[in-house]
Amino acid sequence: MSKGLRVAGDWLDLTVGRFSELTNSTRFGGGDWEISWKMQLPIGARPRQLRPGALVEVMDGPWVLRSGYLTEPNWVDGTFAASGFCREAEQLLAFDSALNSTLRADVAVDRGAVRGWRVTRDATVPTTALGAADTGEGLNYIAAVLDAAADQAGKFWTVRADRAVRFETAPTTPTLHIKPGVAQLGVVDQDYCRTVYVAYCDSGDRGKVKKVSATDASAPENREVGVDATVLLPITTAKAQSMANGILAKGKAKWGWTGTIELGEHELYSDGGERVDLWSVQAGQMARVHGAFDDQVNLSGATSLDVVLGDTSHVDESGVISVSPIGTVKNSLQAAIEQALSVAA
Amino acid sequence: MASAGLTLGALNLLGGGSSLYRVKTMSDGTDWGNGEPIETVLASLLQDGAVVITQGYNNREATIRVRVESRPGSGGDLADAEAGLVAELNKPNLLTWTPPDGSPATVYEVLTSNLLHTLNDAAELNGFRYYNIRLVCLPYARSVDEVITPAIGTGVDPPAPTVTSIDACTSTTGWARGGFATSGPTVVTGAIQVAASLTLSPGQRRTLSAIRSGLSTSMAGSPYLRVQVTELTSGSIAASGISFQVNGVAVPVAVVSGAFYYLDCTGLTINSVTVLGEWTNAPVPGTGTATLRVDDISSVDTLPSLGSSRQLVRSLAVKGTARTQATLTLEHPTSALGDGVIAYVYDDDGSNYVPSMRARRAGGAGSVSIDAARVSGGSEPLATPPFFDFPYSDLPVGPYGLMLLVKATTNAGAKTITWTAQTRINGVDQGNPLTGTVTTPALSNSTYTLVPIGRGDLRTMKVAANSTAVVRITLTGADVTLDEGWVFNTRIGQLIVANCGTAAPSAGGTSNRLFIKPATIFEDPTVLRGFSADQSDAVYAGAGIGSWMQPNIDPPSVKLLTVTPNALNAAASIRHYPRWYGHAAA
Repeated sequence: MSKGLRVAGDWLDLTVGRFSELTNSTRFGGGDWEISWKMQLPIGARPRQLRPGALVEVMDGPWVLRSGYLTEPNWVDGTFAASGFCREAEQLLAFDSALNSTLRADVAVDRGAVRGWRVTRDATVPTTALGAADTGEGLNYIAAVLDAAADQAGKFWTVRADRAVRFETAPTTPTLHIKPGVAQLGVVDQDYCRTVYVAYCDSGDRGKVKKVSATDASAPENREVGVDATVLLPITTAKAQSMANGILAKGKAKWGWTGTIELGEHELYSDGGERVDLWSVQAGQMARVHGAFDDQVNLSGATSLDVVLGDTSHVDESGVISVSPIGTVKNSLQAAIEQALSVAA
Repeated sequence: MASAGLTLGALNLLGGGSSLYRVKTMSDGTDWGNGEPIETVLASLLQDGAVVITQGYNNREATIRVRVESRPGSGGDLADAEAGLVAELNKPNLLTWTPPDGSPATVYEVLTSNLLHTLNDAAELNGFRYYNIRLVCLPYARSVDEVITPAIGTGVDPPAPTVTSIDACTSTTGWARGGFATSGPTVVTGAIQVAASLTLSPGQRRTLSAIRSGLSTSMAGSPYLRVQVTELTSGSIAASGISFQVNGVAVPVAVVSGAFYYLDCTGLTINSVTVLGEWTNAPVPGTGTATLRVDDISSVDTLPSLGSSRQLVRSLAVKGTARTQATLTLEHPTSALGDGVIAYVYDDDGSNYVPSMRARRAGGAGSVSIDAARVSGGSEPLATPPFFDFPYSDLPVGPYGLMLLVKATTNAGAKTITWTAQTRINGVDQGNPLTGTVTTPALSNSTYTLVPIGRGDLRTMKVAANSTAVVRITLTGADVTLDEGWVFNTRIGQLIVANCGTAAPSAGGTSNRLFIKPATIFEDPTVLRGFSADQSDAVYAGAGIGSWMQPNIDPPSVKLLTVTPNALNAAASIRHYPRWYGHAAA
């Protein structure tokens, strides 16, 4: 059964018109990433519901499957898109109530919500500062503060359909199974390291610049990367170390995967052996790829590979979902720019 | 032989036209076309062949070859004829074909159309012209007239079901004991009883059975077997469930109402009925006496309502042979339907799937308080978590949305509700459970509110087609009182929820009628609420629509679950055009 769309609280096909090609994507971290659809509207029609910023919800009856906010509509060809609320964090600054730049994830979320970010804060959001103090100089966007806090904690922050900001740990137990012969993941050795060095200003030694490191000895190649955390002002050695550990924990010591896996409804099963509803598959779930090889570690005779889904994309009623694991190297120019900008931030 | 007929809108294509021109249809070059099946090949593990499913049909393309001529002496010319044709083209329209064999007229719904002409000098010289009319139509044909199919329920108390006794259980003739029963069958205070003294080690289960054989009862006209059964227990053992076999084959229970168990035995001739009662014990050894008591075996023609007449499950007949679109109407002559009105339309697939949870209550730390004002007929606190068992055979494959009708027990405000869905076989948990936690919106401590609490694949394990597995759903919530809960399958069913108000209904005020209208070639779908039966004061239900999915109306019938919290025995009907593959049969 096709899913419904509710925009600005109104059911779209009851109030505006029929829509088609409903598509959604999710990411880990991030959560709900994008919703898009097409509509044929009369020339000049500007329904009040379809205003930029309107709340967009993909519905299965009264149950919200995905949520986002409407971005610039294309009235010419009738395409509409909504960005997930995680992306709104890239446009909101991280302040406390006195407009100081906050280095606390919980304060950034709470004050962002006061200033219009339509989310709530889950109890998993850290309540400690990134640096030695709760505030710092310069201007940071909420997304940057959350990214840094997630790296320190070795977790991923998400905003999913319930619009709650959460810090999630990558699962270690698969809940999805991909049937053998469907997927074979290629690997590429870019965007990878064995050892992470973090340069930081030591708050316990008069701000002297020091370095800590974290190493994953199981990584196949000897490669190092440096992270300049001096921009965060003085922090403790423990915080710098947790940052280094967190970066490795998020898969930095693994070669990147290439390509995506396209799965039909008959190729994906729950851990109970039943077929799954494709709308219930989201980035952040762990899938066991049966019959796949891991070119990096010795599987000791195991005939499957467990991966955490980093990206999913699905067109409603297509019967197909595209997924890719965490650490997929994005080879498009847009994706490469996106990675470079996020590093610069 | 009857006369054939062919009209496009107001234009008669078999000799009609106007005073200026005449239109005739040529059989050569005329075709009604066919709907194009949309077939999808699914990837599967089949070694030979492929799984192909038909997801629907694309439009049909009909072609009509016509010859137009001016009427002699009228002064009209061929351009007048072309203008007359074009007036009926390039817009939604109806093409009606009446076959010459006397069968009913068939309507093809035209989405758009255009005219094709090729110059023919011989025809021009003789005063006539040929055209091909191309019509893009919906894939299925339909009947000329709509039909209204009422479901049982006319706004007044329905007639009592007709009960036909099979065995009054006042004699042991035909009865035998089975399983672990060691005494009986005997007649005790007007009922058959079998019993046993049981000593159970931890986790052990024992079943007693009472078997009635030697019957030859046709269920035609009265298809539901009703058995009145009670498990009596003394000592440190506990009754843990009742099940049934008919003619030696396990039959799932359709509805439980008090001590009455209803089994769907449509089409069967019953030769034997076996009643099985199971006993178990606490996690310590148990000893006690188990007694299985059967008071009555009868057949009935209708199932009872689910707890109260505010909640009804009905079957709606759908005429035709192809999927159609229907206006669904819920109404009551005097009472507003209430807030949180539910209409759930779902496939009549022959299973006993009914979304309601109360009828599946299998136990819990607390108890249900009877309350006739409640949708379920009772209420219970979730602080003493109840659990509900749904047999796998009664849960079609697909995702399920869970919804509760709840209020705050004491203190109004937001509450936390936790649910788990666990597959069990023979009382043993299988695989991992599905769980969810939700924070509700602020709940009143006087008014019940519908709250969606989660969604997931409740069938967490793959099982065999004849599996005895159940899904146990457990609900927990501090300071929360439950009226009713539902597990709505969103693959085979469509859920509509709307508010109609609770005060006395009036035009422009609260509503005793809800109209759920489909998409047609002329209109978008909508949900209207109103007071008058002719919809003259009906308005869009607007912000009061809590759920919307366009109902799927497939012949020969669909099931409909309705909840009208403020109205007893609300009537339900569907108004639809029967649709057919190519030609109407009625």
